[in-house]
Amino acid sequence: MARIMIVDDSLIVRMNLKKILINSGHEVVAEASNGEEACLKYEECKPDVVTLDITMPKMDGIEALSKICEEDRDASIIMISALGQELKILEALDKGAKHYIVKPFKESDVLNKIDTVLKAAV
Amino acid sequence: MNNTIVKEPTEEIIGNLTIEIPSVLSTDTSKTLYDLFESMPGLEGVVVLEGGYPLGLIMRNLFFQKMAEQFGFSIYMNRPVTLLFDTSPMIMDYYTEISKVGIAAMNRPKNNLYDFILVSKDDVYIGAVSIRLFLIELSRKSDEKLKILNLQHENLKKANEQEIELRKTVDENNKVIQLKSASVKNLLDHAGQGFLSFGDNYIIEDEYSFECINIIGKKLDDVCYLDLVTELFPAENAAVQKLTLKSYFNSQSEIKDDAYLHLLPRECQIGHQTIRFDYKRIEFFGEKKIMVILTDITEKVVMERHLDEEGRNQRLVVKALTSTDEFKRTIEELYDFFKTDAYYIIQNSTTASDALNEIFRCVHTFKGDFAQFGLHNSSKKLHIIEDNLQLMLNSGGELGKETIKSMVEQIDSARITAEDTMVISNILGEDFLQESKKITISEDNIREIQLSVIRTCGQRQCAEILPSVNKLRFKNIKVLMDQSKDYVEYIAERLSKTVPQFIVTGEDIWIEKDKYSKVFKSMVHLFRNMCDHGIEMSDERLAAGKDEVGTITCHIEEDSYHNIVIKISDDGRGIDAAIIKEKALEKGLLTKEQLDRLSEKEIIQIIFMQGFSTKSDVSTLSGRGVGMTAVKEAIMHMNGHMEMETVFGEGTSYIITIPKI
Repeated sequence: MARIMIVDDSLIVRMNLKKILINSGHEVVAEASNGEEACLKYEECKPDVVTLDITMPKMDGIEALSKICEEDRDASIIMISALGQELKILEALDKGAKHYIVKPFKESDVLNKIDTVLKAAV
Repeated sequence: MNNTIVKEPTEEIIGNLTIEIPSVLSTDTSKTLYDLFESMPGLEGVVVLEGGYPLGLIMRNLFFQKMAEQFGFSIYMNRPVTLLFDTSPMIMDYYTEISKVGIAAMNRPKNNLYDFILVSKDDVYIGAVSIRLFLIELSRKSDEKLKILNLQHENLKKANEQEIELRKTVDENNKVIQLKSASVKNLLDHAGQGFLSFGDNYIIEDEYSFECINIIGKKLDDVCYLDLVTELFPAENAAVQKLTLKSYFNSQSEIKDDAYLHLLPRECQIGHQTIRFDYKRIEFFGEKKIMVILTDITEKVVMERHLDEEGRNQRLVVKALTSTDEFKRTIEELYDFFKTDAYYIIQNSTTASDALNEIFRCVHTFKGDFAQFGLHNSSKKLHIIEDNLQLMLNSGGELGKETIKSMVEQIDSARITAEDTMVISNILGEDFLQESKKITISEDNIREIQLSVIRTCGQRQCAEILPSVNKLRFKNIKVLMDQSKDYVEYIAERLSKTVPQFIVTGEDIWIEKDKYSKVFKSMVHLFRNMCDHGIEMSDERLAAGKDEVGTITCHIEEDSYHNIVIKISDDGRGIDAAIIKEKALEKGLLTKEQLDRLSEKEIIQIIFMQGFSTKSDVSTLSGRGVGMTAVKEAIMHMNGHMEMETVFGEGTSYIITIPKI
């Protein structure tokens, strides 16, 4: 099971994700509500997987992604996006994100994506 | 021609393509199967064996399709695999000729077109043939033959005397190849789906299937897929698609290929038809390609749209019932946002575009939250607002705060949520959304919901939804308490404090939630107080030699008089009796003489006296009493009582005792 960091400015989304992850045996090692915080906490915790929201205050997900990937090329990052953000997702994938999830998400979707990314990281 | 086949009989029979595939027993659960598929990503299917005899077949695609159905995972996971398998897979004899197998496989229903063919030899099961491998094998053979042809062509030039003989062979070989390609193409043409593929030059390859012409309405010979995209999809979508395809072909990782393919649109309206687009990563002689599978789903969409609407409304109601507090809070926050917060943002931002950006971000977050709650209509409306804001942001022109303000003024938050709240009001009653502190759902209402679920949902959905509706009546106190965890998190965030640990321990006691709802609702005051005043800021805690993160513990047990005892404790700073004494005196609640007679424990109880604390207090004790009387009243109403214990510097506990009814 993986050590996961959740980054999202919505508390509700974080809570939902956390519930899903913990119920399936993953460990949520850190949470952040903006990109800046995410970069700091990534350094600190070195999580196995990061779920990263795209639209956030202070520093958005794309910028945080670039910063994290600069430090750690193999970072396993899954973008969390809303409907209609295809272009942003594409940018994120090109910049090093491993996969993406669209809100509203289903439990199985989240877990499948995390498994896929984890498998690839081994 | 017959000669060739007789000469090399072993090359042309299905037996040579047979592979061994993993098997499961009919008594195994879907979990076993799931693990098997997960551990072998290349595994296309599994045979179900009983005593060496094949009972049936389960293909990966179908399996995961079932799992992906609503509640599929929970329904099938612990049940036997026999629920899912195909009981009449195609079984072929070991010695059947490959070309015959092609025709037989082609005649299968389109859903099973790519299923394994099981192979038996002398009536004993020996393995399976993968259609995928079968197709690859066919094309490999054709390729080999082509090479031979070329060689033979050379020979022709060199050896004139053999010319006539050889020409004969070439012709024969040619015929065989044509026959075989025809059988593959037939296979695809009759699938009722269109298949086409292209590589990084985007030119659609010649072997596209006949059905493509029906679906798209023209021949696709030498057509560039990008042009097709331009033709079929809206401009903006087409542009993203082209970029995505480019990234796909540049990508070096298979997982990312998958992610890119996911980004491509799933559906397209062509004329009056709705066409589903599925994309598959294929590799052809080491070259990466995309196979596009087109399926006409027009009828399915019309039917599903209706069912979807019903299903979504049901989910919305269940969500509203199961996470009532967060649900209402989100709606209320949206109202507040457009009533006050948005104006505050406009006023306090340095520039107009800063304000617009911030409002955009908030709307976006609301959109996500609403979607998560199943408020799909509201979410859609917010999406439109978001689009408009995006347009304003992109227009680049000089924006005044006044423009933004008038734009916000035009937004009617009641209209955003109107459709969804109507659905909720219709089922749960008008009061549900209006009264923000208490919920009252009568038994009748619950029964009505259950009936309407049974009426409109399938058996599987019922199995999932009904228990959660039932749960509304009886709840484990531990679960009820645990729900406050979200509230504590919420409050702590609002107060910019580190979220304290929240631990629930003790016995499992089941109660009818409705009867205790007032007490449980009032407990929010306790938690608010603990977060606000009990638990110190991180630096203060560290200085006091405590853990940086505070802890709130709820312990539940039943005493010997069948009372429920709930002890809620924090490890915060506790209450200083001396300060309370001072306050009580100051407020004239008690005289000095009266106070001197009280023990320290009794003095602490003054907190619950009406009028001890008012909102205007801004000292360290401010607000500590706010809401405390409400808690006490709710408990006394149930014939229960509450005590408070506090150790200055170490923490506070509230012990609530209520009779079990």
